[in-house]
Amino acid sequence: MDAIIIGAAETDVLGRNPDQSVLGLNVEGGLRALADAGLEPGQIDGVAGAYSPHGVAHALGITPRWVDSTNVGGCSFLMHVRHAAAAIAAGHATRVLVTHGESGRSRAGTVPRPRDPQSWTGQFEEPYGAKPPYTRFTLPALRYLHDNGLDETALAQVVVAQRRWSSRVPRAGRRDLMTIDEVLAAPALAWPFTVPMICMLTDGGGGLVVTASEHATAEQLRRSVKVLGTGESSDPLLVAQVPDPVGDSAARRAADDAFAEARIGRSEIGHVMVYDAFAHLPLIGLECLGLAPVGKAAELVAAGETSPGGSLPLNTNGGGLAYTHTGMYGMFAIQEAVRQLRHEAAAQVPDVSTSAVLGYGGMFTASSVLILARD
Amino acid sequence: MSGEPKPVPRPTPETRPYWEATQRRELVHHRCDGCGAGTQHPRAICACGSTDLTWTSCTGRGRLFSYVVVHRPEPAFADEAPFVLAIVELEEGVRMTTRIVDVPADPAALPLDMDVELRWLERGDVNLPVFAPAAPEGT
Repeated sequence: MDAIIIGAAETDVLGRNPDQSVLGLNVEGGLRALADAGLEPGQIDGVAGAYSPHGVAHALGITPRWVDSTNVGGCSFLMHVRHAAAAIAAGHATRVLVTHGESGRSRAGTVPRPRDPQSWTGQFEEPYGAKPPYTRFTLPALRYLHDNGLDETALAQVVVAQRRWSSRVPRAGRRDLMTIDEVLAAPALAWPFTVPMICMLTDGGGGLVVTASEHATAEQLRRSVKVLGTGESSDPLLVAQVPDPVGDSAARRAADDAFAEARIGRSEIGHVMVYDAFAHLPLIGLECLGLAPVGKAAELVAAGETSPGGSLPLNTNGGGLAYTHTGMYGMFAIQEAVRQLRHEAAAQVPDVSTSAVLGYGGMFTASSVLILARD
Repeated sequence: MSGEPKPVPRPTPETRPYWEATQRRELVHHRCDGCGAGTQHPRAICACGSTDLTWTSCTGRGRLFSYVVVHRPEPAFADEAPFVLAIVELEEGVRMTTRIVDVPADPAALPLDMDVELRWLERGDVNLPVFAPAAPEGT
C-alpha cells in the first residue's frame, strides 16, 4: 500500500468548549489538518467522518467525488483511513479529508439519541439498566481478569502507567500521577471500574489528510507517515455475545489482517496506541495485537514496559483515560501515533519509526487497526 | 423514585416469539438445527450456513459468566443501585445480558461460574428474564 498521511491536527481546545458545535469542531479539525498539510479545501476530493461528512464538506466548500460516513463508534476513524487508502488506490479520490468533532461534554449541536426500545440494545440491554458505556463496554472485564489469575489491581496498573505519560503532556486533561491504592480507592461507578479507570468526557476534534505519494509535494512527503497495513472487523452486536475478546474477536482479526498487509513482525513495533475508553482495553488490546501473550499484558504494564522508558510505549498521550475522550476517541489515538512518528509528540519516544494503533467501537463489538511507519 | 420511567423492550417482527414466550414465563433462544449453536436474538442464517433456525426453550439454568456492580446508573434506575448487571451463560451455550437478583450486590457473594437459575422481573406488563444463585441440589 502506498497511502500516506500528510496532514494531522487536533482542535485548539480539548476539554470544555461550549462555544463550538459538533459541526464547528469538525470544521476546525478539518481546517487545521489542511493547514498542517499546506492544502486548500479545493484540493480535497474525498471526505470521511462519523458525523455527516457531507455536511462537513459543504461547510468547507469541498465538492467531493468520494464520501465515507462509516460509523461503528470510536474506531470509525481508523476505518476511514483504511477506506480512504483503498479509494485512493482505486482512483476514486486523490486527497481525502477525515474529520472528527464531538461535543461530548457541552453537547453543543449534538444530535439527540433518544431511547430506541426496538433496537437490539433497547430490547436486550437497556431494560436491565445497561445503557451508559461504563455498564456495557466493561461487562467482559471481570471474566478476562478471572481467567488470567488477575484482579482489579491490573486495571489500576494501567491507570498508573498512563498517568506517567499524561503528566508529561501539557494538553492532557488528567495529569496527576496516581498510585495503585489511590486508583482502587476512588469511587466505583461500576465495580471493578473506579473513576480513573473510566475515560474522560470532553469536547474536541481533529482531522487527517490521506493521499498517495504520487500526489504529494516534497514538503508534504518530508513529514508524511506511511499507512503500512490496515484491518477491520465486527462482532455480534451485543457485548454479551462476543465469543472471546482476546481470541475470536474483531480486534484479533483486524490486527492479523493489518500485520499481514504491513509485512512486518510484531517485534518491529516501537509504539502502540490502544483505544482505552476503559482500563481493561489496553491489556486486551495488546494481546489482540499479538504484542503480549494472552493473559500476560498486565505483567508488561506492571513491569513498566508500557511506561516512559519501557520497551513497548503505550498510549503515550495518556490515552482516553487521561488525555481526552470526546465519546469517539479513535481520531486522537491516530493523532498521537502521527505525532510520535513525526517526532513531534509532547512525551516523545526516542527514535520511534513504527506504531500500531488499535481502535475499539460499538461497545466492544467492532475494531480496526492501523500499522503506521516513518522512514 | 426517579421521575423517568424505566425502559421496556418493544418487540420487532423478528423478536416477537422471544417476548411472547416471556409472557408465558418461558425463556427461549434461537437455535440452529444444523450445528446446535444458539443466540439470544434471532439471525437469518447461522454462521455454519444453515437456515434451519428454531425458537427453542431453555432450561433456565446457567452460570455467572461476568458482571459489574453498577453504583451510578442512569437516572431511571437510581432507585435500584447498587445492582448486579451480568452476562449469564445458559446451559445451551447462549450468553445474555441480565441481572443477578436475590443476592447482595457484593463481589464476595458473586464468584464467577456460580450456578444461577431463572427468575422473572415484572416491569409493567413485561416479564424480564433475570437470574438468582441456584438453590442447592435436592432442595
